[in-house]
Amino acid sequence: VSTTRLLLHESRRQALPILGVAAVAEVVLALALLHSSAEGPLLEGWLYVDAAARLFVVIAATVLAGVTLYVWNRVRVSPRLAPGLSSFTGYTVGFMGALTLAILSNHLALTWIAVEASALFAVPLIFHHKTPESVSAAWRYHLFSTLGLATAFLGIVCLAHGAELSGQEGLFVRGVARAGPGNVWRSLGVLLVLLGYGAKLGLAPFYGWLADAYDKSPPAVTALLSAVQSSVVILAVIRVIDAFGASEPTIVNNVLVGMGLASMFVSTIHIVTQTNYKRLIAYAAMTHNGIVALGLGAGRTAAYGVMLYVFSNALVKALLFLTCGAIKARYRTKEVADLRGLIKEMPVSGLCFMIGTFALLGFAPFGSFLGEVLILEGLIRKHHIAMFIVFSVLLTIVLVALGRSLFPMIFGEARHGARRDEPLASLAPNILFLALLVALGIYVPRPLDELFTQVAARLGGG
Amino acid sequence: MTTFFVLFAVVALAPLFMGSWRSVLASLGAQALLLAGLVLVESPELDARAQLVVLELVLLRGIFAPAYLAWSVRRSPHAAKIDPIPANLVHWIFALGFLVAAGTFATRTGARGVHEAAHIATFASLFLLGFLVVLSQPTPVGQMLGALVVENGVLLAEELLEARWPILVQLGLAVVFAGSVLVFARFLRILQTTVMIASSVSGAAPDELALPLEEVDVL
Repeated sequence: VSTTRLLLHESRRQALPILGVAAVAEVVLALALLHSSAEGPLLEGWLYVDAAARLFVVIAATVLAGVTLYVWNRVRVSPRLAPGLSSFTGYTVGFMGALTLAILSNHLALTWIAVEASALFAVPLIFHHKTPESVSAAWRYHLFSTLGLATAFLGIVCLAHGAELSGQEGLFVRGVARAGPGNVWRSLGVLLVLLGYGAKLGLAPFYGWLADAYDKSPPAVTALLSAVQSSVVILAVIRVIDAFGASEPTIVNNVLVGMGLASMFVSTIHIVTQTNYKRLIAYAAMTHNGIVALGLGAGRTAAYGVMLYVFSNALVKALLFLTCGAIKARYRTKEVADLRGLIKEMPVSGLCFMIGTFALLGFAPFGSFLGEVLILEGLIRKHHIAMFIVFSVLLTIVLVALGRSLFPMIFGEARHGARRDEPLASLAPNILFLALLVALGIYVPRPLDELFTQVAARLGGG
Repeated sequence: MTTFFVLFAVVALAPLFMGSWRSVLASLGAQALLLAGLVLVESPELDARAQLVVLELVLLRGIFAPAYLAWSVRRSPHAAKIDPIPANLVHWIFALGFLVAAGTFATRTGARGVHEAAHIATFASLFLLGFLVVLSQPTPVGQMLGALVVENGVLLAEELLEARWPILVQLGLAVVFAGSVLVFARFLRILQTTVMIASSVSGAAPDELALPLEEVDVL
């Protein structure tokens, strides 16, 4: 309703309050789901509340809250951003509504519809400022989304046909989870769904849209795409593994491991040659998606690590992309070479960027470190020694290349002179993500720990 | 039924090899209308689900989408250049290879009868050739046509299912398809505008979108 109202009636005064209400509603939903331990179907089984749904609603709510604060502050500081805010808010509310539906959906086709709807809402957000570069990036995003999701939907049709041939009906996740041995349609369906969702995640070889879309979008949109949409697509993959992992283990493992390793390899090459700090983080996000795919495919014993990694990296990506926005707003450049001594000139943003970079690189004590260690442990336990070696080598190259580019930018000799005060309001979202990230690195709260454990157990790990 | 799929394949594939953007869009609409006819034949007792499917196929996919996109494409600077599968040996070899692959795939899926094999071969051909169109087209209009061909391949695949989707899912599919058409049309308008701006500001050729505009403040 909010989306329709905002898109049909340009209403700048109502836009920010509506975005705030949407963020509060998402947070309330997350708290309500966390508070209630009940697990079960809603709306005649179309929706289902379980540990995974709780976990991903928490991610969505946290990122949306931070992005809302960020947008509110940007409009306060630069009033000329107000025109177009109405449509921005309308599409953002639609985007988040669709993704929340995808999180709670218990039907594979309904999940697909919600992810597709979120992709359609994301397109005008990417070209919000209508620069030629952003329009071009949005076109790539839309084209890859359309093709990737068409492939995934063909997979869902194949799964439904396979279920019919096996004498079963419906694609409710809880229903197909009890399905018996597979057939050719089911195998094909699982393959196509994983390839399609892999394209939506920007996994190689379908990664052509990712860096452009993340680089050319407004930072608030990049944070939503990389932290929320990516996580929800990972959840969609988890639902497929949950339902078909036991009956189609070879396809699930081979596809995810293949795409995961290829993504890590490709993103490593791009990271080594990249000079734009926002694109660097975009390719690091691609590496992360590759690690998650690898962890899900090869190391089901590492399922807990994957969950911790997904949660932690959603915060890292939101923190870093929003900080990129603050840096770009001040220096008007995205080139690493043009920036030195960030921590001296923008102390708090520099600190956020520094800690975000440490977490991005997988340093202790952050969740990404523990997640990577657990995934590596899973690889060893499963005797995937070659994979372990490739994973470690690529991760080391990424670490060195990212560190070589980003550390001088943070710690080098300042070039632009005066230190500039950063108002608390502008830092609130970054401080929120920073606090959560550090807290999560030091201590995983018990409710969250239980959610990680339950999702991991569902995936066969834990 | 086999005749139906042969007719469908001719309607769907011929414009890809020797057509223009107009014939591809007309073909997409005709495919939807043919599928609506199939649903009416297969479901003489038109229940609520079947009614919804027929409405979607006729109004949305058969009439609105092709007409609205044709109206949008007509104003695009790239419209005149579209040759869906370019007429050269490389593209035609790939296309024929995809057709053979689709036929082989149909025989290996354990199809129940010739008509099901024809059905599977047709949707697989459309799906694969749609990707070929996307890959071989340099302009947004051509790539959009390829993506729509892929989507129609999936639409035809849905007819494999004996039970129709639940109404909620069918409605959702119709809504996201309509959304997808609106986004494509909006892109065509915006790309036209950006091409015009690019030409006037930098004197660049329309295909070169490297615009030296100062980036505005961003959200």
